[in-house]
Amino acid sequence: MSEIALLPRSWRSVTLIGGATFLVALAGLYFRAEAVDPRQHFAYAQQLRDLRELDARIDGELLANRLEFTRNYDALTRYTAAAQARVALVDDPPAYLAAASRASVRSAAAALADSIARKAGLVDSFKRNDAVLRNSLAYFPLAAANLLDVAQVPPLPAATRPRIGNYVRSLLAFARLPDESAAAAVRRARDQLDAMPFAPAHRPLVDNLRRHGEVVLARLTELDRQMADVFALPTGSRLEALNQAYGQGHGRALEQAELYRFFLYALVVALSLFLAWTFARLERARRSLETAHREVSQRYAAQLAAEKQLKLHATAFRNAHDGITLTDADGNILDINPAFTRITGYERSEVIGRNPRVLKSGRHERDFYAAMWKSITETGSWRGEIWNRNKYGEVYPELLSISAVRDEASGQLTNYVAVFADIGRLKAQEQQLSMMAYYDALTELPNRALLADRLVQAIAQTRRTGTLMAICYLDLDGFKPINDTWGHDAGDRVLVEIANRLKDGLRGGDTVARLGGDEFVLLLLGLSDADECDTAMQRLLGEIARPLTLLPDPVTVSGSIGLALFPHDDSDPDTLLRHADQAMYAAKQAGKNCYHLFDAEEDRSVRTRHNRVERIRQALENHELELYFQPKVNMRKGVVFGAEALIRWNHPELGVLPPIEFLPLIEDDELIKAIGDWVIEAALTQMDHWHAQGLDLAVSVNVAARQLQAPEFVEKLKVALFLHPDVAPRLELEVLETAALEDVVQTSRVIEECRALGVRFALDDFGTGYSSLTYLKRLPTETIKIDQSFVREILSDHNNLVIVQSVVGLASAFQRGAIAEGVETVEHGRLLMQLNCDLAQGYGIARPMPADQLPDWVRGWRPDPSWQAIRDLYWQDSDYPMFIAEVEHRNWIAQLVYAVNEGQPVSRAHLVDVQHCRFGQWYEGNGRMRYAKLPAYARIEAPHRQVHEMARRIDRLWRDGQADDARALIPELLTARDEVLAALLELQQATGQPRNAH
Amino acid sequence: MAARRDLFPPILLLALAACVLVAATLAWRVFAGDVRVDPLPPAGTESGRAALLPLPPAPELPAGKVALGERLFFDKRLSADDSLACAGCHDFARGGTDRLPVSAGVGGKTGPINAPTVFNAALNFVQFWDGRAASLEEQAAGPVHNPLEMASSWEQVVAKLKSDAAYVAAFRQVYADRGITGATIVDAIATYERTLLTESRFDRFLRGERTALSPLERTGYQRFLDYGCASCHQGALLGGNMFQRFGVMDDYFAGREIAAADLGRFNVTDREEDRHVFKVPGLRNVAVTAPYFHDASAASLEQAVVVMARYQIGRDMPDEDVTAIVAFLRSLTGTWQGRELQ
Repeated sequence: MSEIALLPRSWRSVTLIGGATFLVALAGLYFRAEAVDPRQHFAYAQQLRDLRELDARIDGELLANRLEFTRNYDALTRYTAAAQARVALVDDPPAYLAAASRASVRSAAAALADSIARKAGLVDSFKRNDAVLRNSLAYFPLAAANLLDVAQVPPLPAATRPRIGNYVRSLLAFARLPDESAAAAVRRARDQLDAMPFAPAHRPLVDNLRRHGEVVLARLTELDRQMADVFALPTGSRLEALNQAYGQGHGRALEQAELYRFFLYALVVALSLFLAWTFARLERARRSLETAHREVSQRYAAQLAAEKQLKLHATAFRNAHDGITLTDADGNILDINPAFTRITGYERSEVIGRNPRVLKSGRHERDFYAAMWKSITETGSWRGEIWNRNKYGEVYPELLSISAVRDEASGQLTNYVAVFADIGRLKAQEQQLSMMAYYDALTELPNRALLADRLVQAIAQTRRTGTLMAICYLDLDGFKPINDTWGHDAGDRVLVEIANRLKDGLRGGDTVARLGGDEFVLLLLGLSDADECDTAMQRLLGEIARPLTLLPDPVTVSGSIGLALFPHDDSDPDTLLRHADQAMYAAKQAGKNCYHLFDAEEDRSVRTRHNRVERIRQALENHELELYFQPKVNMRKGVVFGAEALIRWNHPELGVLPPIEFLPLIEDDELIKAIGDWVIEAALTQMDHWHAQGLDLAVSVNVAARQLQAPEFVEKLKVALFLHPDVAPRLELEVLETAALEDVVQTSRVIEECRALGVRFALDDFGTGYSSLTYLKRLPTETIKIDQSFVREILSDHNNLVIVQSVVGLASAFQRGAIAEGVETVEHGRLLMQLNCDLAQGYGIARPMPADQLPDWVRGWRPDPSWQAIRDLYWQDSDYPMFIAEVEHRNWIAQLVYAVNEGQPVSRAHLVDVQHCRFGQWYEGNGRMRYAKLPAYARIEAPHRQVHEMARRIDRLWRDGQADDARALIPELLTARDEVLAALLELQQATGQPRNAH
Repeated sequence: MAARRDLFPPILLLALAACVLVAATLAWRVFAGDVRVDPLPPAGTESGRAALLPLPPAPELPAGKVALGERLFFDKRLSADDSLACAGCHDFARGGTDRLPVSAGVGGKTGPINAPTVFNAALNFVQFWDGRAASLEEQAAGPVHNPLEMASSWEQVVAKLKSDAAYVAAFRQVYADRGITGATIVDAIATYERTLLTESRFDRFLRGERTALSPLERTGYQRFLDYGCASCHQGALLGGNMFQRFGVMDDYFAGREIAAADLGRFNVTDREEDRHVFKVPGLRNVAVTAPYFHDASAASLEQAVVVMARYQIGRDMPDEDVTAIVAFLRSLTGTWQGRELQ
């Protein structure tokens, strides 16, 4: 480790210094390489270009003004100022120029600045001279004209005129071509003019002329000299020189930068190579480290495991109950365990290095030891009982087992291991244990085992004497708080005290035992009757409830006692105890500090019920449950659209049981949920089978309230649907209206959640639950199943017909489907169709059948012809009295038949004439009004009269005491009734209208 | 672990250093990148070749700076005893001058020379009669320090302004970290002064609105050109872009007591040819800036025109021409903030 650490420490400074140097070099090179800032270069070059431009503009403007092409100095002034400002700037060339280049650039710039400054000075003079000259040049001819052409007073002497004229001409010639000879000519002419005498009146005019002439002469000469000076200024060449100096400097700087860039590049390449090399090294190091780490981890793990095992062995060695001796090949003791010391009395230090022979008792012959060693040598081990002597000279028997240990590799004997147990002590302990086996150590009362003995004896004795025995199961009330408050020692003292009180309260022959904790059992023998028992109980409870004084605070406990009275309860001992125990629980429930006598009858009912629920659970587990399916059809369309799954129990002894036989038993049990789950799963599985056969039916499954409200219901359903994806959308759940109404909020929430899974709901047994419209609205079921109790009666009870009709209307209003249950006959179906309830199930269509029969049934089913006949017909509400009339007629006949069969007098109501029975009232009233024109209407009358005629005949026979004759007429009566109904049906068919006309 | 601890800090340090370097480089590039070249002034043809040019449009200048300059221009704290603002001698109600022969400074002291107008002063190529200030900024510093004028110093002025929270805030807003200094004060004032341009009827005339001038004024304009007044008083300011000797055609100073101010540009250059040479003053608003000349020797425009004709052009001018030229000169009076200067 230290070597490894040393290396990085030296590396550390090397890395730091090297890296820093490298960075500085890199940065330095970068700045050098990037020193030639193109923007700075551009800016400086632009300054130079601007200066050249400005210089040219100044020259141009000078000329323009001199030639009076321009008559103001604004531009000239502006350019001059700009040039001076610019030339001050070029004095500071960009920093990237080398010192030498910089010096030459600056000297060139200084020269240029000087040139520009001189130019500015010349421009300044130029403006002054130009302005003055311009005026005098313009005015001079005018002044000459004023002198020569205007009549003067007195007149100008003639001699002077040529002189003046000569002066004017020479000056104008000079103005045109201002060279030295022209100037000399002007000066000559001026001198001549000056020599002339002028009258005082003429003098100012001549002087004025001469003054302006002098201005022209002087200023023009000067102006031209200035112009020449300006153009002679080396501004251009100096600009060029500056440009060149700068260009060279810039070029040199560029070359320099290029060089640095190359170095930079080289350095970067070097760095990349170094990095690559470093990473390669690191990768190699990482890999070797990884390998090493893996090996070390494995070794470490192995070592840990070994250590753990060693520790385990050591623990076993130390804690073993048996004495263990470990010796070398010569039999010298290497190690012993604590048990050795405990058994033999020898300390470890006393026996290490000695031979186990010290333990010899001398009770065995030499042969015994020879045989022992022979066995060890030959088989590697010996086992047997041997007498040894302990440190104190006592001889004791021990069970000894000696094993030879050999080196795994060489097979050389290395050690012996001797394990021995002190059998003498074992035996002594056994005795002690058997002593303890019958008595409770704390209270010294008999324990459960002894109680069992005593109970058997007590039963025999009681039988013999013909008396009563009370088996009392006593549990202390309020004992636990004592333990909790004062600790277990205090609790134990209380138990001892109570035990003593119980013992004191007993008569001879009675038994009190402690079963453990604060539970005691008392056997009271020789009771003559229940009253005596009562007295004893009161006494016992009183004893227990006496205040306890052995605790820091006075406390009381009480007892709850369960009683079984033998032989009133003639059970075996265990059962008696159990009964007493049960009764004790009843006492506890009854409020404690009392006793309760076991009631065999009560127990039995609980047990039976329990057994039956258990039996149903077994049925589920034994696959005795099966699903039957009852088809649901659309009578109008003539198709089977679904089936309701109904559970059946194939009971081994009782045969097939319908759900009503067993489901009510478990309605409040958790089992209902398990069965519900099974039903859903079974239905889905069956649907899968049918799907495979090409039969796709919507299957509805009944869901119990308890199942629906279980929190995990939706989750379970989701899983079930997930497992049967092909058929899941066709699963429908039926929930009882009564169940749904128990908790509308919860139910509708679950329904919503299930609907989200694509599962539809039907409200089963609709009409039985007193559900209001509000509830119907809140329960989002797709379908309403009209309870069969209404459907079954529609043919005979017009109230039910009205109910069914309004349920259908209600369903339609809430946009729910309605299906009628309990369709028992074809007529039921027909009437339902007429009430616009097209969906139906019931015995009249098919009974529930095993799953395997359903496909064939579906294939074979045809709707009844009477349904087919009215398939396309619909009736208006105004036609309903006709249906009611039909029901009334059936009912009337049925009551008549019932009365005749039962031997009762025929009610007067049945004997009214044709026009006054309910049917007759309709026929003559509403019926005639609506249907009188129809031929079918008229055809009803004759059979109806016939029915009434029959009724009268039957009545007459009955009154004459000819009951049997009256009964014999019944088939005839029914035939007549059927004629009426047939005719009525004809009328109904005639009044029905196709849907589109409706 | 030990190896890791020992090896990595240098690498981290180096990485940190590299980051600092990169940041520094970037910063350097950004600041070095701030290279600007002022554009060239427009070529001459744009401003025109005629003798007289219309007033150039007012420059676009930062409003905050202009407002600050305006406040300073009217702030008396720029003088030693808080008695005199720039506007004291450059009174907007008096054509941007004080209409006195020489200005009255702090404590009633009088200066040596007539104060020129501040209106359109930005168009002068140099400032002061003798051109000793190359810019408005330089000019502004002059009176502040002149013991005969405001008699103050930047130290004093800056101290006074710094005690005014409003100024501190305004300067911070306009000049950020530069704050209140002599340089920023004159910069603000000069910026304000560059906005003091006054359009006149003559400008409208030059732009083609012939009836902007009356017939007499038009005649005066023609005379102005014919006599050669426009030889020196040319350009957009009708002067202000050149120097000229006072007394070109005759010795103006003959028989006068020569004061130092009379030496003109000689005081600046010490060159003989600059003796009695003055900046040709611009003639805009000349009608409202009496008295005239550096020595205020002409009380009226007529007088000034006659003096000019005699000494600068070498002409005797008939009265009707004087009248016409004066009429023309009155047309040069411009408007400031919608009102013609009085």
